[in-house]
Amino acid sequence: MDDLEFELEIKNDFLEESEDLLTNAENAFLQLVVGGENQELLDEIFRLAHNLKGTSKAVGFDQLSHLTHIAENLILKLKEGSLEVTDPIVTVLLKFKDLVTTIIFGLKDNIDAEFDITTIVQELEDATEQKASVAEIKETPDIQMEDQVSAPVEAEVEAEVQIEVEAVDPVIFKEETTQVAPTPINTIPKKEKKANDSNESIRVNLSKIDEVTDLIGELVILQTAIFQRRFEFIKDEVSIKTITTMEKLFKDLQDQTLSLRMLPIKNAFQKMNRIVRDTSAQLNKDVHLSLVGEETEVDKTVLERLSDPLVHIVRNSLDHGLESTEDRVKAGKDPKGSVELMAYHEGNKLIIQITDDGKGIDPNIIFNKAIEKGVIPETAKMSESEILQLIFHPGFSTKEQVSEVSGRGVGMDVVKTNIEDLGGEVKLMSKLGEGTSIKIILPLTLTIIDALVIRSLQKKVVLPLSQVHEIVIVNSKDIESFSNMACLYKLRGEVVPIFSLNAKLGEADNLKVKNTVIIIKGATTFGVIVDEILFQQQIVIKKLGDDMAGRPGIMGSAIMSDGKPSLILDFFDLFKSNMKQSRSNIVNKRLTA
Amino acid sequence: MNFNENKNDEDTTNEERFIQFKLGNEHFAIPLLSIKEVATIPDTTPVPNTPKFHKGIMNLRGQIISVIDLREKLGITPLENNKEAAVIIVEIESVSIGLVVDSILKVFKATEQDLEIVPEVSNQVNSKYMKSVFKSEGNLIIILDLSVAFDIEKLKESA
Repeated sequence: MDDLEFELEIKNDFLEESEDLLTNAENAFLQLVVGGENQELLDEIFRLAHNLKGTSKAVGFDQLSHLTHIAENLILKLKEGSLEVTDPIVTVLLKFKDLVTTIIFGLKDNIDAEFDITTIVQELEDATEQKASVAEIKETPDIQMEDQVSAPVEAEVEAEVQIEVEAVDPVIFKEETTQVAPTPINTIPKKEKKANDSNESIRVNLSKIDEVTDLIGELVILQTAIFQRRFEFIKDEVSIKTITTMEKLFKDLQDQTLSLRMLPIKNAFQKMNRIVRDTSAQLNKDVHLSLVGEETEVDKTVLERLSDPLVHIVRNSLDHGLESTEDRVKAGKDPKGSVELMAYHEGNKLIIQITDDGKGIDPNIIFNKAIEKGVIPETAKMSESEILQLIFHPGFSTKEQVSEVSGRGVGMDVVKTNIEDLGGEVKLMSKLGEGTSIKIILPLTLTIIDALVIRSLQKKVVLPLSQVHEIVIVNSKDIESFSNMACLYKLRGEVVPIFSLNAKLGEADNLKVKNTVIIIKGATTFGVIVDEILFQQQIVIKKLGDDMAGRPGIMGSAIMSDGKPSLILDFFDLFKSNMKQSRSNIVNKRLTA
Repeated sequence: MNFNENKNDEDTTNEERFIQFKLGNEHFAIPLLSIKEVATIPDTTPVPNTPKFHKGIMNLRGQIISVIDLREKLGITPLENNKEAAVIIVEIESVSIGLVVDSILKVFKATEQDLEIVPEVSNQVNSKYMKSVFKSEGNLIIILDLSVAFDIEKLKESA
């Protein structure tokens, strides 16, 4: 029983690990240049295949190791130079990788599953045998890397694929390989070096990390309680010093735990290489994909849920965005289309931009299509930019023909929903004839923010520090008031509408002689009068119950040091309606003046 | 064997357990299975622009939930000088909500036959929230229909 469990465990471990292996393999396959210098890559690919073969055999996935072995024969020939890298070979290798992926996912569901591998085995063999009659085939016994377990299989499989096995003199073998490539002995230390480059890592279950993050979140709340009382109630200097140091350590600890969830966006980006390769072949378009900012870190949850929308957007760019090669030549553009994926941090936001240099989107076509589909009424009046955003409307697809690649009428609205579920937004910008750019804006962390704790009458409320532009003290005589909801104040020559937080929260409010005003700067600038600014603190954002979801201006709740919840306000959202009002008020005032 | 007998029992009698509590001087009950826990009156933080019966939000061991004054919601005058007030935390359509009641009395069992349809009596409570009534020791216990009383969609709309 124990043995069986152990076997199952190592099998599952293998399946987990092999996913990484496959991603690396795919990237390497895609980087292979037809007719170019691929030696280093081929060494890497060979190592990966060999690794997969060995471990799959060791844990008892015979079919998988058999399949990998056949692929390894092909890779070996490429590595030795007796076969040239050609496009069909890359395609076969990619197909092989896809099947291995299917097998691995299949095995995850059912550890004893069997798969049909005859087609791909045939294709791999055909590719391997291509030059068999011309080139001298040497099945190199890779002594240095061979392990005991895989050795017998190799012999068995070799018989099957009918490859002539020659006993190669080890000396000759060494001579040969040193000429073309580093010997296998050299590849081993190289592999270790690579591992060091990307830092050593261990696999940890995400739920464990989440648990640690939660616990540290609670600890930080407690620590904050002591920290805030350190001068009032604690008289011992050593204790105060300790508490102050602990505060710093906790902050570091919290940052570190948060960063545990962060992964480079690389994985999601590199998948696009494959998408672009397959899709461009399907569409018969020549496309160059460039990836910028692959090292940009993203929360794991965000990363996982980002993948599908990205695939969709990239496919769309290729299918709808880029013109056919003839059209591009006609338009005087580079016949090779370009798609760029760029990721970067902007403040506490993650920005991902997908830009193509295609034909752009004609707002008129969108507008007419939207009317035709009943998305908007015929009388609708919209700006160009507003019309472009209609692309995200459910059931909207503008391409006349439904194509195989994209355009089944679902898609961009799903993209939008996915992104919005993550608390982000999607924008589309396009210039007719020049290209289209889709911008995804996502929050960087989903749980902890720096915040300002504010007093409004007897209540404590929390404002994300990211929204605060500056804090000013304003004398009441400097405030020009013409209605309860909107006042104006001249901040260094700029006229800024200011509102009262208390009034907004449904309480009475009177201007005092001196008022604390928080200046918020976004698309518009405005000020908010608050009673008092208490302190700055890191807070853990807690979701409100579903019954309270979607209330304007309320982002969530934070548990304060006294254990009581406070509301986290979003001033942009909270005062949105006031902004509209005040604008019309200002206009009215000008008219009457 | 034992298990099977029990199951047959339940099948024939449809016995259900309820928690009985007081709002003002009237007796009410809700199915025990809808209850997550019972707590003392917590510190709540009021939320602006909510109906009067929404007392605010509370911290239930790290989870933030809304607290609703059931007396206010049903239009019942609360007891004065009451030290027994408590919060019943229920789950309605997977949303946790705390309900403030004047006092919690006991848990009782009732079969479907024991429950009667709501009579046309004048009573403080809006009768649409009443599912059925149960007579016990001379008291009339009103079984509340929480899903009607707390239409989650409506709570959202009241934003």
